[in-house]
Amino acid sequence: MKNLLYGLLFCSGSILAQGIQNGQLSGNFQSDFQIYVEDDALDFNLQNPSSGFPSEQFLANGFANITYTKDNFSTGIRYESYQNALLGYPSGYKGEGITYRYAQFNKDGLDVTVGNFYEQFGSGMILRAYEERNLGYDNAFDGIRLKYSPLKGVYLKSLVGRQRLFFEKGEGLVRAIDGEISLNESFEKLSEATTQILLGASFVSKFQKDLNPQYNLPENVGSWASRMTVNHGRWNFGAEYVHKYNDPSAVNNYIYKNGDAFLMSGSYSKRGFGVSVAAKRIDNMDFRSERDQNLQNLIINYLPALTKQHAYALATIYPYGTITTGEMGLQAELNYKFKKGTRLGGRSGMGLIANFSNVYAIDKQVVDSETPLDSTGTLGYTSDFFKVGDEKYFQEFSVELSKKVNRKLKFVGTYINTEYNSAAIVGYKYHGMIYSNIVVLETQYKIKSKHSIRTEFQHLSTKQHEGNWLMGLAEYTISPHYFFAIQNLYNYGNKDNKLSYPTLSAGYNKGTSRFALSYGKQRAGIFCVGGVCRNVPASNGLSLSITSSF
Amino acid sequence: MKAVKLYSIIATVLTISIFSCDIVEEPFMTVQEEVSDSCEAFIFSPIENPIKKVLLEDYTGQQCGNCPRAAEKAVELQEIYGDQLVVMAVHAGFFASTSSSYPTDFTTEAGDDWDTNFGNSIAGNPNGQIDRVNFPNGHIYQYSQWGQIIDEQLQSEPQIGIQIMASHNEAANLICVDTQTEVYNTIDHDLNITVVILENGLISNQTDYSVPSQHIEDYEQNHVLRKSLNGSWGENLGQESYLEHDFIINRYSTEVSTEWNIENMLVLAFVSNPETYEVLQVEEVHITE
Amino acid sequence: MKRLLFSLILSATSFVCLAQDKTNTFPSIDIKSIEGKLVNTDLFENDNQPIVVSFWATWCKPCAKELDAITEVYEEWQDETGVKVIAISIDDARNAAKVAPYANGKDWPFEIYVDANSDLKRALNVNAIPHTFLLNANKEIVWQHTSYFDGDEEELYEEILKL
Repeated sequence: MKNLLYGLLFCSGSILAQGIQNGQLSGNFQSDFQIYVEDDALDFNLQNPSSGFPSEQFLANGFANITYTKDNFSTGIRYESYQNALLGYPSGYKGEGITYRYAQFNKDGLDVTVGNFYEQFGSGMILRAYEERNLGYDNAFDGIRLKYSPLKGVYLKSLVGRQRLFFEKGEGLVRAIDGEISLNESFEKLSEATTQILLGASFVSKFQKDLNPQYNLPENVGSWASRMTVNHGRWNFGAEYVHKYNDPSAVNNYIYKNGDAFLMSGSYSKRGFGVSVAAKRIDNMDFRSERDQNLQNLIINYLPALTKQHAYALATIYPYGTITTGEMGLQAELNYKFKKGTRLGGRSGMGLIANFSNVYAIDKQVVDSETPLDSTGTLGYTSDFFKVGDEKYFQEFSVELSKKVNRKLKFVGTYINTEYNSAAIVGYKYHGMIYSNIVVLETQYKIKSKHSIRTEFQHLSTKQHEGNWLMGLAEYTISPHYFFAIQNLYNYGNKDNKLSYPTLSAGYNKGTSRFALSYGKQRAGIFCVGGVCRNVPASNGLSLSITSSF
Repeated sequence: MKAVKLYSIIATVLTISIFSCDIVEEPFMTVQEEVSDSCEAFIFSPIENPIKKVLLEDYTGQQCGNCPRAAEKAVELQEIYGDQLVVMAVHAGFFASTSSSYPTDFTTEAGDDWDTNFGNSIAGNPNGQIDRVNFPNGHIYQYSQWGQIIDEQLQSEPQIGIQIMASHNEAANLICVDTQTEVYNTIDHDLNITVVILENGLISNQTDYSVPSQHIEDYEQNHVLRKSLNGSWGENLGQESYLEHDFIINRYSTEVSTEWNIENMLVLAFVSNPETYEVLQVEEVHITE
Repeated sequence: MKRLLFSLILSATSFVCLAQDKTNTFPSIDIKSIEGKLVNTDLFENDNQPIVVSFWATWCKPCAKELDAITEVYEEWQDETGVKVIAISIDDARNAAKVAPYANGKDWPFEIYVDANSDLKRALNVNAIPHTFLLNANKEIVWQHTSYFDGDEEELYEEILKL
């Protein structure tokens, strides 16, 4: 099989030489190198094996994609190498090889893909195969996918395949089908209507043999979903419901309870103003193609967190991750631009983004008086759909104001207040609920044409966990090619260890190529998924990152 | 293009100059302890009904909140398989580190070396290995998979048998260990024997996510690896290949540490293939007076 | 062996690329409109005038800065060159519902689409965002740039003027 593919590639090479007028070749490449330096303040050294200091001292990740397209045909290949993988990457990334290859053609409305592919049904809560290279996440399917539109406005997709697990494939077999109908396209009378309606439904099932001596496990696990989107001018409304049949797995402690997920969202927006609200409920929805897997491995679906995604350094110390065994919550966001000339708007207007989100546990009750909650080999628990559980997992309120003061100066001010249930979300030992307040002030000052300096000042105050943090950053950019930056995170509020994480970085950009060099220390982190906890150690060293495309 | 050249030169120079220098100091060989004269040699008779026993290594840590679940699973499986399942708890990695609330150190040199080689703690705790099968791709198993793999391993007939005699010589403050490895089928590769000491009934702190305070002060740690008597990777049994009825005797002694409670201690020996690390047979006994 | 093969493929293709003086045309991929309907990129058109395609996401600050900077000078750009800017969001279900309110809240005058399955992102070899493409009248990619520094929109405008 592999030889055949290599042969095809060489053939397409010679075809290229002849048919270059019609075909297109393109690709991209990224490489990250890191040299680790021992650091006694962080206890990051060879003497301390649990610090994770790599005995190789030099680690490198890299990948390259090449794609060839001609008329209705396209093919691509990706080579990845982890020699060895950078600290913090899932430990399965060891070695090198071709991890992605496909051929796709489109004829008479039938779109066929063979090989590896990514796919999403609706919001992804029933099925989503995607890649996030920087997190080391990749659950691509290897198999066959068909897309067909039998009638105007009706779209069908079906796929069968196994998922990627580092350099191997999962044992579980996934079969899925999805149908979507755009009522306005299908029915002539509705094509001019302002209300646009889309309906969709999917069915996904996975197969894995039962070799367990203790339990009688279901070999075929099925799940179905239905969704709808309604759009009326400035209003938008969407809802999706997913139901999964008994799926005892390592993550849910082998209970036979069915699972479901519900996501609903609505928004109104017009120029200068936008507001959105969303609510969701997840109950036992961890869905993998192998029942004993953990962490980020072989996940079939995607359960989105409904909390605001932050980019500022201190705001990422307590990040939220969906608790797939059960949670419910909501989010509301307001986007507004104060117009020029108004009192708050000033000369060029002021932007406002306010966001509120929270997440609670679902209500779990025992199945009967003899069976404790979540007991292995039982139905686990019962849960009332509308009841909110007692435990609060997360709550956040944030406000961001951005204003251009004059031709040279802009600033963005942010305030974030967070309640973070560290035991439930990330598995931290007895730190309980972490209450934190973060203020960020970012300014951008244009020194002269093409030269600009950006500064960030951040402060996090909390009485729990590691205490207060202070962060400062100054970045000098010369458009369009250069940047230099210096930053430091200082954990001054820590009673045991007031650690400082300074970093120096510089980079060069040209067209699609980007080079970035940085030297300094990085904070540690722990994360737990489905009963297994991983530690990303604090580290110190020099890193070089190169990315390009053609 | 110039910038690319510059950056590639910098990267190459840095990598060559900084990372590739490991300077090793004396002693160069890992030292094996000599057997003390105070230990008397023991004479074994052959095993009457040899059975295959399976080694379960539970990689765990006192700060790992989900690890008590894995320990409970090991207990469940011992109730099913009895003597045929031998459990060893290896404390290693980030979650086995000490802190002000977790002052006891259960890590060992052997455990650290195994963890670095097999990558158990970086894959996320708890997890384990069964007879160290499927190294390097697929040797780490979640505790929900243990039952299935142990079952599979117990289907095979024993190729070798191990007997251990372990005694405590109070006067000399030594533990004396004698092992006899018997061969039942032809084996045409190298074999290594590793002999370690475990301790049961150690009461200490443990993080446990199933209790409201997330912390247990008087948790009972069992099967804890304390020390290897012949290095992290054991020693070669001495022959290039082995025939039916071959037997090899090994003898060890070690000083008793003041931290140990001899009554709760066991000696565990396993014979493995030094190339694939796969364990062919394991045996454990309590230390007698 | 694999390393040899990889370097062979890479050198062969780079030789081919250096040999060709061609620019690639914009790929034909299905993405979603802001209302959730399936739209093919073949439908992107601007009356034979230049098109700018920019990838962004609600969590990407430099992307917002770039699109804000273009918003400020958009009227002038359109008067001079007739250019159209199309902003494609790669947000997933976590933020998809917020794409329209976010873009409207920032008062962006661009056409907004959502590349839910990242098909267009992969076809265009986008690794990091912001990543901006300039298409000429024949929908060929004549210029592209990744990341954004204050003042980069001036370089983009110079490229547009060349067309």
